[in-house]
Amino acid sequence: MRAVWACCLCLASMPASAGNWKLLGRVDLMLGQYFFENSAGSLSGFGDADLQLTRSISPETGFFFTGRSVYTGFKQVNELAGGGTLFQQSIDNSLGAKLIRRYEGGYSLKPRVGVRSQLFRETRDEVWGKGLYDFTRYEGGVVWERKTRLGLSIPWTYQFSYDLYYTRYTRFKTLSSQFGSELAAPDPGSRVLDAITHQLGYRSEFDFPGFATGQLVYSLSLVSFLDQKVVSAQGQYLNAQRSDAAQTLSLGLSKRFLDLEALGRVRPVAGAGLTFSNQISNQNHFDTDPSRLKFVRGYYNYWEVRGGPNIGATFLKTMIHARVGYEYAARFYSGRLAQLADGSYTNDKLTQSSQSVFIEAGYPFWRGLELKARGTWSSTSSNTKFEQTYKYNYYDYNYFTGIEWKF
Amino acid sequence: MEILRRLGLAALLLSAASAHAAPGIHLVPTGSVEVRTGPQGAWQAVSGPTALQSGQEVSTKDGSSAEISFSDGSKVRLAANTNFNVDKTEASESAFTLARGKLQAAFAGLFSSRIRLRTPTAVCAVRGTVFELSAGEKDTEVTMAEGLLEVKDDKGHEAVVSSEETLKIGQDGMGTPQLLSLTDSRALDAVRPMAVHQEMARDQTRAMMEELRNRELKANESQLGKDVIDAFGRRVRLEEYLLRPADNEFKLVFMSFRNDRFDWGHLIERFKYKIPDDLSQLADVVSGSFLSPTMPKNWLKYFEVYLTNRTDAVKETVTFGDPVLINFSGYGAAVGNRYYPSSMDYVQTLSGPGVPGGSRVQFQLTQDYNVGTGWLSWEQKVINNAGALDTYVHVALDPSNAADVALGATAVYADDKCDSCNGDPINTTIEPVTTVSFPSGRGKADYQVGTTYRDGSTVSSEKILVSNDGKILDFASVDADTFNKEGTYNLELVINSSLFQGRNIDVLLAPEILSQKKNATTSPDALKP
Repeated sequence: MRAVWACCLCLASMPASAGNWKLLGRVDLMLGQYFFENSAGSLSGFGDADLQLTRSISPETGFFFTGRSVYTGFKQVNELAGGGTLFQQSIDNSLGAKLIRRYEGGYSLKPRVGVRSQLFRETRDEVWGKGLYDFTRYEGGVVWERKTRLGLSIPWTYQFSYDLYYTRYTRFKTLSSQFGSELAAPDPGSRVLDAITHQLGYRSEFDFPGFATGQLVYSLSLVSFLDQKVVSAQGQYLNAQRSDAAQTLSLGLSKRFLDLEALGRVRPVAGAGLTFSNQISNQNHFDTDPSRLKFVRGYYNYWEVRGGPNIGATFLKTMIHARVGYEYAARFYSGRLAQLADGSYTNDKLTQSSQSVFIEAGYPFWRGLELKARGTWSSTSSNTKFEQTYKYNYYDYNYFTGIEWKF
Repeated sequence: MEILRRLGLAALLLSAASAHAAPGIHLVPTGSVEVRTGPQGAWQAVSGPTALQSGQEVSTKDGSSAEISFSDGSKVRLAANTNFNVDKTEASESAFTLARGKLQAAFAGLFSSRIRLRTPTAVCAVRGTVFELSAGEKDTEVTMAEGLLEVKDDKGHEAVVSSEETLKIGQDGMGTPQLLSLTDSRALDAVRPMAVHQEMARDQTRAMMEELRNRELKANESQLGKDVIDAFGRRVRLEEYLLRPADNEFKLVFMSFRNDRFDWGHLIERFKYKIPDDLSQLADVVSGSFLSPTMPKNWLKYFEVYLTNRTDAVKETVTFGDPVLINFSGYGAAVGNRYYPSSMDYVQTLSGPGVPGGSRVQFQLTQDYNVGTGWLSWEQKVINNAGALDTYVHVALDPSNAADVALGATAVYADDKCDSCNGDPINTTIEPVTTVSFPSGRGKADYQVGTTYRDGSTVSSEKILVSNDGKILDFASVDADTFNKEGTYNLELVINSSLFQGRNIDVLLAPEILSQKKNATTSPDALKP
């Protein structure tokens, strides 16, 4: 972690442009708070330094390094809301490098490498560097890009990508692998969360006439868990390792409209997104609760739809900009069964739905400095009512506000 | 690249918001530059900064140039021999005409709702753009640097021109926009701010897929009950495993791990005959072992709960005799004969370095059916003042006799030492003292039962219902059975004993384990209406 900070400081201490090197980036300093139903977390800070050091050699070739360090002192709405705690701190450091190589005809090849370290403190007895879910991710990838046109009118950029991620949870090993010999417990594997992901991607971006843009993204992730054995109908662990296949198809549109002659002129922008995704896994689940002892095949298989609109406005007199968005998501598990409040299983498959609303605003008050505020509220419900270890029906929200410096 | 360099405006598109001065257009001439108002107006030379209004035209002569600045930070540089008209500057739309010549422009796009730039053969709509535009009477050429420009010709064709594209519009209309060659002097750097921003955004979209996958892993650990917070604010990792040591037996191993300690335990149930692969049917087998009107097909033979902190342990076992037919009509005329275990032997054993001899039975309850007399007998043994296991309660009951059932006993054996049971003073050599307390207060589901034996040894069990985030359930009327129920809270069980040398056993477990323990000792009292 020290090395990451040293690199960030090194990047930050450089002049914004030295020779053909350029330093780009932004720094955010915020305060925020998380609420889970009627319980409130404490007011805490958020800091984000995101830097890019770029070097262009020619129109054909260039590269850039990236460094990012994020400290979050309060819990995010999307972070384990139903199963976690009000208290959560995280430090997320990443370093990366990317080469851009362009060829005639609009072709580009863009290889990259990177490493990311994420540290968590989620309970009072956890200290930095010893969080249960701390992980380090090594990643590399390559993008092949073509910039061309769709007919006469529409610029079209499409990309094929391959990314490789190796995620290692530094401290997460099964208890059975550590203590199993004295318990005569079975062997489910040791580092059951560690995985290698091969991600294949396709992306298309369109610029339509009428100040509209569109994009389509498809992604297929093939995930191989390195040491997570598949559980059988008898609760035994087989030699086969868990492997998942997850795919996502996203569509996005945005359009700028004519300015409204109100409040000194307001420029509206509207957008909408729609995502379909599914996951297929060979892993099952055996519920060891003494009163149930239930085997659930295909426990991790699901498909999901997610989407919603958002509207943004820039008040041109003050340059205050604001955006509000709504998202609805529904997930349908194909093997996981819904449970009644007492834990007993129903014949219905588990479904989950969620709604979220965010509102954000910014005011650029001096050069690259901007005051920012954001709030998110979300509500989740499910047909499972068993909430002994995880809440499936809840609402939560957070807010943060602070200052951003872009350069 | 040349356009960006000369105008120095690449950053404009990224930080246009920083410029929001009062509306206005200003002309800064270099060399011979003239301005007139309207097509009929007279040309007037300008030599210094001049405000421009709607309806004015600017003309640059040989070897001259001019720069036009807009209040939103936008800039237009006019080359020599260029005619540029300011047609309209309204909030809803600003319109300009390049009648002839060449310009380089960087528009932030904020000056008006729509910004249109006309040439004799084309109309361009600006979308936040750095570009170069040249116009003659019969043709127009647009070369984009960064951004987007919407261009229409007079034939009804429309094209969005993007970065590093060039488009020619002649009298026959527009051609197809062409990408600049990388060897063209107008080609941009491979790595430049706008491109880096785009790359970062695209990379983050792909990485987000992996990020979501990781969040999902964590959520699943919680959904499966493997990661909770205990009543003392500590993260507890839980794992449970099912084992099938024999075809008539299963074993559940459960573990609770905190940063500084590991507690675990197991539950064993052994049956008379083979049990089904689908263990969810077992609940019926267990309930069928007790008080069934017909001979059960299978029944529980042995039950064991074991809890340990790896140093000290408490083990509770129940051993069952095969079912026999007993006349329970004392519990009701309609009850009649029921099958019931011929014996049940419940034993609580403590072990650890502080326990005398390393291990000893602290409590024992034996229930037998005496086939000859038709009576049930109960014998309870506890540790006495000498530290030895001694008979404390020993009674018999005729289950067919309603009066005896109402009284609770038919006979008291001679070795019974429960003096207080008869209303006499407590027998201080053997009668243990049991106390109930609420360590977190009366309104909380934190219930402790402690027993002090006559040798000074103590054993207590504290049951706490605790939410995922470590909060103890608010509960108005807590009793022992509260903790046997399935519910929405985790059950934390803390076992203390004076024999554990200051240590304790602290496990989170499914409430059903306690429920099963209770069910495994179902007494004839269950027959009472």
